[in-house]
Amino acid sequence: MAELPDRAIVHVVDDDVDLGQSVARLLGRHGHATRAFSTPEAMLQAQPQQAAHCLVTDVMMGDTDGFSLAEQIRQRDPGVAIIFMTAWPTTANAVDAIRRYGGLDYLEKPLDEDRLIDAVAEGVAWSRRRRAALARIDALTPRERDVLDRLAQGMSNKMVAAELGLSPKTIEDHRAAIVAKTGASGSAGLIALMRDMRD
Amino acid sequence: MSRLPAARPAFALSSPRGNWRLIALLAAYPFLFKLAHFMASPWGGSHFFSLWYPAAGVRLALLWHVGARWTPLVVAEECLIQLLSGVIDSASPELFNHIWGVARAPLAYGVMIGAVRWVERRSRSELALPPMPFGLAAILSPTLAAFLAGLWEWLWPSVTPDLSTQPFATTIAAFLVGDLLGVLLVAPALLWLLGRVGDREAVALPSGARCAEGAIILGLGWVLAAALAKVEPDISMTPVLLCATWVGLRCGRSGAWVAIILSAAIILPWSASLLSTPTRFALHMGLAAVAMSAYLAASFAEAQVRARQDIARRDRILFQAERLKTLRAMSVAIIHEISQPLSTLAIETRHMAVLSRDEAPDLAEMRQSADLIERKATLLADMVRRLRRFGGRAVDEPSAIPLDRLVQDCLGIAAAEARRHNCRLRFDDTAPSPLVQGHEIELTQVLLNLIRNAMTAAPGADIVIGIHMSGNDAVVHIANPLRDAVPDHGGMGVGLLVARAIVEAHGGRLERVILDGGVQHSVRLPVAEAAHG
Repeated sequence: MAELPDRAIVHVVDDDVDLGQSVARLLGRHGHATRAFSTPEAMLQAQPQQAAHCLVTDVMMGDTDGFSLAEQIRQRDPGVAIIFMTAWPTTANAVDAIRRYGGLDYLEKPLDEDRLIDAVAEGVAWSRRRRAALARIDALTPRERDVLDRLAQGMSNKMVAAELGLSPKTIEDHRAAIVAKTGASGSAGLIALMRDMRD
Repeated sequence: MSRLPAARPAFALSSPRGNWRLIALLAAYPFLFKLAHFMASPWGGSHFFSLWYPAAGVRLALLWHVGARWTPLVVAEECLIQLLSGVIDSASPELFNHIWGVARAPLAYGVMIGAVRWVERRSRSELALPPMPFGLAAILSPTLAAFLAGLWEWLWPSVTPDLSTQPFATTIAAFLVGDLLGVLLVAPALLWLLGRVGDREAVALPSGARCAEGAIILGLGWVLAAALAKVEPDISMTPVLLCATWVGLRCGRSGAWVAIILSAAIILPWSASLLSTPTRFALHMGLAAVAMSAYLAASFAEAQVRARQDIARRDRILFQAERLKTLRAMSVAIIHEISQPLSTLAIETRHMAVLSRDEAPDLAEMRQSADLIERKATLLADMVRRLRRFGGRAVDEPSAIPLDRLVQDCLGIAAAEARRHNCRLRFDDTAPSPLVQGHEIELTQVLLNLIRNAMTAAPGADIVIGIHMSGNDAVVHIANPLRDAVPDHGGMGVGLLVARAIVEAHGGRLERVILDGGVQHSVRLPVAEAAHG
């Protein structure tokens, strides 16, 4: 990536080109590397070359709406924070935006600028944590992931061993491998790692 | 059409100016009454005062104008003036009988006018529509007065008519004919004058063509009457009766009144020179029939016109209500359409404010923001103008409208909803743009209704809108694909009914055709003359 590591990449998608660019310029002034797209398709095409940390998208757009864009981008890159904005705020959509589509925030138009900036900053931070966590976990075998999952839930080695039908000694080995691969130390570190994966 | 102050309630004269006017009218009445008496004297007979009695017209006009509750005063005034002028001999032993003879006519008029006004206020029948009540009062008041006089004289004979030479019925009939002629000739003119003085609405006269038609018809009637008069003068008024009625129906009360005056101007001088009382009586009877028939026909025709105008006005109110309903249904879409540019405006103005606080502001940045702000503000202003016009109360005057601009306007208003329904509105803007004559807002309403219906019927589809010519008609067509399940959006289809009513009021037609896999609505409107060439 050509961008400096401290400049997060933010993509803005809105079928109102002027508004999209306005929002992009606004976020640009707040230290992000931004790019505006007028269609979800254009944004999806650009994502592989320039992976965004945060996506700010309108909900109501032509053929692909903001929600289906969110689903598609999640499948391709689980490390993108998503913020929805809409001129059609409804409670049902707001709930869906957060619970179903994993949005970080659901902003009404006309936009509350401060809230948008805060949400994007939060999203960038989340994305970075998540990307780091993903990178650390990447090296784990599936079995090691199962073990990590349970350890992060607060289970002891014995409990994990009983549940997976393995010996405590094997769990002990897996745990050592996980710590070595992810750099997490102790139960607290493992729990923090899993939290970054889940939120 | 002249408008008599018929719709004025009898008790509306309560302003100080109205009070003075009332006093002046009531004070002038005895003199006018006496003057009218004097005018009638050449047509008198041995057993009746006159074959036309303009004083009755003055009386009716006054009572109609000031209200029936002033009847006692009018009665007193008439008795007093007859006493003072010596018509009633104050020394006569029959004094009270004579006074009663004078008093019962204005009393009957007052009672009848009061009754007609009462019915006018309560009834919803066609007869209660102005100017019918005045027409009825003008005919029924003399009838009641004559009937009362006849009944009284029959029960308690006092005038001592010599029934062997002068049939009693003839006396009463002469009374009736005289009063009727007096009322119908004088009262409308007096009330018209009073109306003019009192700033009533402008008098709408019949068109030139109608006037010409009336003149020809009436002239024809009088030619026939003149031919008949040579053979049998007694029945010579029959053709005039028919023709004057025609004139009344076609030209309204002003036309009828002119016809009546002209007829009277021919009959009255002629009959004054006649020696045969029966012929004179027959002619006056005929003239009274002409006057009644023409005036009633005119009143009825005008009442019909007024009723039609009323219905048209109510239609317009209905259109307006429907328009507001449409606007309300679109409000969510409109809020979307407004909040979108508003977001841009907010961001850019804030940005400019921040920039302006810099020591050396980035002018290029500022210009970019300013341009954007201007563009968005224009967009918002255009939209607000369109919406305000559409939701406004104003009923615009019909004008020649370029059809493609009308369609573009509708598309502008519907754009927000199209986004909501995920529809694309495709308009072929290379289409011809004929001019149509009409109410712009109402036609906007029609097109908007059809476009919105198309969008709800086929969400996510392309709605194709176009204009084409078909003979002398311009047609706007709106097509949408048919979906298997048309979502029920809770409408009652009133919008479509209103749309049809509006199109038909513009002399056009609303058509619906099922196409291959779709449905197309067409608004067919006649092209305005100015569009040719």
